[in-house]
Amino acid sequence: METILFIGSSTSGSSMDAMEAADRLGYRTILMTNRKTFIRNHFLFVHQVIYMDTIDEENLQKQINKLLNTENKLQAIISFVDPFGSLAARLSNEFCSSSISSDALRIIEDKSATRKILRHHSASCEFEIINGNQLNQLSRKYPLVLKNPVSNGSKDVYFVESEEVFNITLKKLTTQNSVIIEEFIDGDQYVIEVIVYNGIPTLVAVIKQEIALEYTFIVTGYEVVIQMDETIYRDLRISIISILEEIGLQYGACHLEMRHSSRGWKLIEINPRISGGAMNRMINEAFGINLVQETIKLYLGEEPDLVRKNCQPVYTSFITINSYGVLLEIEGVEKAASSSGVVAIHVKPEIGTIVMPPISMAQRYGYAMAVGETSVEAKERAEYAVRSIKFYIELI
Amino acid sequence: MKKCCICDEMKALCNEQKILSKIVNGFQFVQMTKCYDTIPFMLQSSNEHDYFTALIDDGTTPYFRLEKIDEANCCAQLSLLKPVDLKGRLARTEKDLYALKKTSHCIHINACCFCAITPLPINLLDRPLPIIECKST
Repeated sequence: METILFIGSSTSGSSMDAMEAADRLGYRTILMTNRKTFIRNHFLFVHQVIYMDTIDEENLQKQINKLLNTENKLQAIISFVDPFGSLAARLSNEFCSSSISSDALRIIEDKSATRKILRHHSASCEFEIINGNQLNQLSRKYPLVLKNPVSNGSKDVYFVESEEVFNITLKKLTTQNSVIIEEFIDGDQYVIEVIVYNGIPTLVAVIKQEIALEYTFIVTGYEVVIQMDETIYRDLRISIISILEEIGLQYGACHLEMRHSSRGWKLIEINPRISGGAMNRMINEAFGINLVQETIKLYLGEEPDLVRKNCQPVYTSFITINSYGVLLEIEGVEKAASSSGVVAIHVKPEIGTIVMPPISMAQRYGYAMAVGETSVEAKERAEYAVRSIKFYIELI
Repeated sequence: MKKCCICDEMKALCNEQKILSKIVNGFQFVQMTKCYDTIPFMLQSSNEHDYFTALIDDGTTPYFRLEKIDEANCCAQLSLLKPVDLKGRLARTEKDLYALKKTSHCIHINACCFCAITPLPINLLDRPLPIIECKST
C-alpha cells in the first residue's frame, strides 16, 4: 500500500489540507503526532495515527523502521508544521529517495542561521544576535523587534519602542538560548509562497498582510495580490531568487515574509513550509493551485503543477477580540457563511473556553474568506461576513 | 399551628437569606464586590413533576425569592424572579437560563401545598449579561 507519512499536523488548515490531498491522490496517510486530540477524534483523511510523546529523529526512525516491516510502502515523509519541516525532509531523503534540500530547510528553520547567512544580502536588515547574559550596552535605535530564533506564528516576536520595554521583553525571552534584535522595517508586508523545483523558484502566490501592531504582530487580514506593479514585482522576484540561492534551496517549499520599504524589499522571516491556516485554501480559490498537493508531488519526485487555472481576488479576514473571558455562545456563523462571495468560514474556539485579546496568532478565533470581482470587493465581503459572527463572552 | 416539611425548609431559607444579606458588612479585609440578599429557589407540588410557575411578562417563571413567611400558618410571600437568557430576553426553558432579575410582582402561597424546594446559585441574581464581541477594529 503506497503510503505518505506526515509528521505533526494542526486539526485544520494547510497541514490538514495536505492529508486530504494525499488521500485524493490515492495514498494511505499516516500521521505521527504528539497531539492527543488526533487519538480522541476521528479525522476523515487520516488513515492511521501513531501517537508519540516526543517527536525526535531517533523515535521517528524507530517508528519508520517498524512501518517498513508492514504492508506500507513509504513514498514520502513530509511535515507542514514547525519544527519538523527539515527533519521530515531528511527522513524522506533517507527512506524514500526524495531529493529535498533538507540542509537548506534546516537553515530556514533557524532564524539566527538565516540572518547570519544573509548578513550581506540587500534584503537583510540590521540585526544583532545575543545571549541573554551577553547584552552589551550599545545605544539602540527604537523602534526595534525582539525575537526568539525558533518562534513561529508571531509567538515571541515583539515590537519594542523604548529601552524600558526592551529590558522587560528581553527578560521574557532570555529563557531561550539566544535572542535576535532586528531593526524595525516600515512598509507593507507580504507573504510569498514559493516552490523550488530543480533549482528554479516559482512564486506561487503573493499575499498582502494586514497587521495589527501593538506589542506583538498579529495578521488580521490576507489579500491575494492579483496584480502588482511590474517593477516592484520584478525586484521582489530577484530578491527571493538570490535569497534562496544563498540558502541553497534546490528542491523544497517555503514562504517568505517581506516588507516593501523605502529601501526596497526587506526580509522579515522565512519558513520551511506553506503558511498555515487558510493559506492553501486561499491560493486554491485565487489561482486553482492546491499548493500542499503540489508540495507532496515535489516530495514524490514529480514536477509540481504550478500553472494558474484562474485568477480571482480573494480576501481572508481574521477574528480577534478585545475582551478576556469565557466564551458562552457564538452567533451568526450561518449568516456569515451565506453572505455574498463567501467561500469559507472557520470558527475555532469551543463554547466554554477562555478567549482573550491576541498575544500571538493562536488567539485569532476564526476567519471569513471571500472572493470578488476586485480585491476591494473581496475584502468588503469578507469583512462584512466576519462582522456577522458574534461572540458572547462572560468577562473574568 | 400548621406544620410541614417545606415550611421548616422555608424558615431556614429565610434565616440564611438574612445572614447572607448581612455578610457584606461583616468583613474587615475581604473585598466583596457584590451584595447578595437572595437565595433563588423553585417549588414542586406533591403530585406533579413540573415546577410551580407564575405568570410573568408574556411567559412564566418557576423562580422565586422568599420575601416573608408567617411561621404560624406557613403562608409565604414570594416575589417573582424573571429568568433571562444570555441576550437578556425572557428565558423560556431551564437550558436558556443565564441570570435572574428581581421584580416587584408578588404572590402568596401556602408552603404546605408543596413537597420540594430547590435552591439555586445565588450568583444567578443580577448576573451581568455577557458582552458581545465581533471582529475588533
